[in-house]
Order: sequence, then structure tokens, then C-alpha cells
Amino acid sequence: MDLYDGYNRKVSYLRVSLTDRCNLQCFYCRRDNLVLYEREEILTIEEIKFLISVFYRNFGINKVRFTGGEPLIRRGIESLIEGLRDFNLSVNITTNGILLKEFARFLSENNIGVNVSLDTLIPEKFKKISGGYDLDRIIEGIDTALHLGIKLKINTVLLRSVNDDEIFDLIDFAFSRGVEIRFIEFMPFVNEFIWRKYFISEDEIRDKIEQRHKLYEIGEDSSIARYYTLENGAKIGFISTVSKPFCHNCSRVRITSDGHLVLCMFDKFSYPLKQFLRPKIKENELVEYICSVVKLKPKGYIELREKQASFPMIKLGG
Amino acid sequence: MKVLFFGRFKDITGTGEVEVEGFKNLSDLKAYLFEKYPKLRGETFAIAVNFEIVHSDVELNDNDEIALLPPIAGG
Repeated sequence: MDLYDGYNRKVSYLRVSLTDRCNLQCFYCRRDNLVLYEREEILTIEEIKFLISVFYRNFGINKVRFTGGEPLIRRGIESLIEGLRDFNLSVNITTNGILLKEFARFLSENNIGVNVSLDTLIPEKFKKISGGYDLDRIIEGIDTALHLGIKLKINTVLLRSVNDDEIFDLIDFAFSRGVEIRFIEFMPFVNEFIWRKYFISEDEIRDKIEQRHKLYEIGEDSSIARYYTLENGAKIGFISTVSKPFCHNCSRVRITSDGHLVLCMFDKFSYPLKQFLRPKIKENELVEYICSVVKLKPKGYIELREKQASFPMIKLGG
Repeated sequence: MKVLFFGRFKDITGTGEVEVEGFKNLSDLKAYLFEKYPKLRGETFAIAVNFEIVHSDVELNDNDEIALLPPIAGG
């Protein structure tokens, strides 16, 4: 049985946050008063595997993405991925790349698609954005992953006066490696003041690119990104959640690392699933519950943009 | 209509841009370009009509801008 929300959008894509911990501290992802989940609140690897299998067996979802926090720091991620081998599922991960080099062979062997967040190529800026020192490791991780044939994309959040002078360098970095880069609009998850200070819209980025390049639109079938090629063949995408939201064909729901179903990143409600897992599994009730709450999936960002989202990015993984 | 050549196609044709006229559709134009620049045959390229990549034959109008681009990176 397929899963449809109240606006007749089919839910086919599950994003699972494996942890709310991260080995970087990017300022646009965190909130100051952030309270991390206690260990016993976090879903076990077995529970996560079971939830994915419920969505797979009952609702025919065809795509899963692991997010965080940083998913590669979640202990047991290998057995989780191995446990999904027999499913006919596209399994992907979004990572900051710090541990990509170490995991590259495993991810390659398991055919895992990898999106790497990369906002700058300048070490000092990387420190300013993320608090970390390991930009070299990320780049080594990307190159190792590509060498092993991993399907990889680069995700970049452009921030005004922080890294918007690196647009062309980032495009060249991706192009020289034969991978696509997607510019993701900065979302208002931290606070309004910071968001207004740093936000740059897709239109503005395109204007900047067009000062040096011609942009040719690729009419590619994608639910969330608009793709272009430059005259040299470089492929770039825009994920413009703020200025051109893609809510009308949103197919995704999210599960937080503490087992809440989140129907929209900007929704203030979430739906606890652990009650059907502990102390013992009640699959029938869980399936019924998911079917009924998914009808409450909000129409989208447009409807909710005036309200503050309840989850910081670190708990949802974008 | 204007035809722009980028990347190696600029070298192959020895020009960045040519004006042509009278072509009703893309396949006719392609046949003409292959005739005029035989080295283009066997090349892999992407074609854009008025800044939009096209994957099949399309009709052309007099003031269209057509571009021959290198294959798109990353699929």
C-alpha cells in the first residue's frame, strides 16, 4: 500500500537522522541552547532498521537517506547499512566528510550514494563556519570516495560575506572532479537575525554566476533541485527551499534520532514512534499510526514560514 | 539564428560563433554542421536551444540561439 498525505502527495523517501551529535559545530546548524538527547532516548540500530523495514514493507518507500548530526559518527552504522542490503532501496548518506576517507571503501562496497557538505575551500573560513580544522581530510575523503567509484555530490550553503566570493572556486573544484555541486539556500533555522544577515537567494547566485558564465538549464527530472550546465559542461544545481520551495512535490518524511516522525522541516509538530517499539514492538498499531498522522503533513514551507521551526538542523540533518 | 561553440568544439570549428539561417529543426541544423565541420561527427556534446538543454529534435526559429556544449559533468 502506498502512503499518501492529505494533499495526495505520495511519500516515498525516508530521511533518518542517526544521531544529533556532530564532529563539527557549523553555526548555521546549531542553536545556542541546544539540549542533546540522552543516550537511552536514541533509537537503537535494531530499532532504526525495523522502522525502515516497516516503511519499506508496508509503504513501498524506495529511498532512504541517513543524516545527523553527522551520521558517520553513529556507532553501528555499518551493521545498519549491511542490514538493508537485501532491500531494493536507494540508500544514501549526507556527511560533512570528516570521516569519509575511513568509510569510503565500506560505502563503495555497499553502493551508498554520498552527499558531502562543503562550504569553503579555505581553511580559515572552514574554521570560522564549522569550528573545525580538518578541511584537508574532507577533500581527501572526497577524492578517495571518487577514486572508489562512489556516486557523490557536493552540497554548498552559500552565506553572504562568508563564502559567496568562492562560488567560482567551488564550481571549479566540483567540475575538475566530474561531480555536480548543488547550492542550497540557507534556511531560517538558527534565528531570524542570523538568517537575514547571511541569506543569499538562488536568483542572486545565478546573477553572480552569469557575470562570468552562460547558464543552460537542464530540464532534468528532480523533485527538489533545478539543474544547469555552464558552457564548459560543469553541472550545478539549486535547492532553493526558501525562495522557490519544492513543497508541491515533496515526497519525504523524516525520523529523528530519538524516534519522532517529522512530516516537514518547518512543522512544529512531531509524532513519537517509540511508543510502538518499547517495551515491545506493535507493528500493526505503528502502521496504522503512520498512515493516520501522515495525513497531517503540512502543505509546506509557504504555509509555515512565519513560524519558527521547532527542530534545529542538527536534529534533522537538513 | 546563432550557433555558439564551446570547449573543444570551438577548436574543432575554429570559431566561437556562426550565423546560419533557414533551418526548421535541430536535426537539419545538426546535419548541416556535420557537413560543414566533419570532425564534429563522433563527438559527444550537449545542445542547448535558447539556454535550455534539449534531448530530442525540436523546431527552430530564426532568432534562436543554439549552443554546442561539452558533455555535462556528473551525469
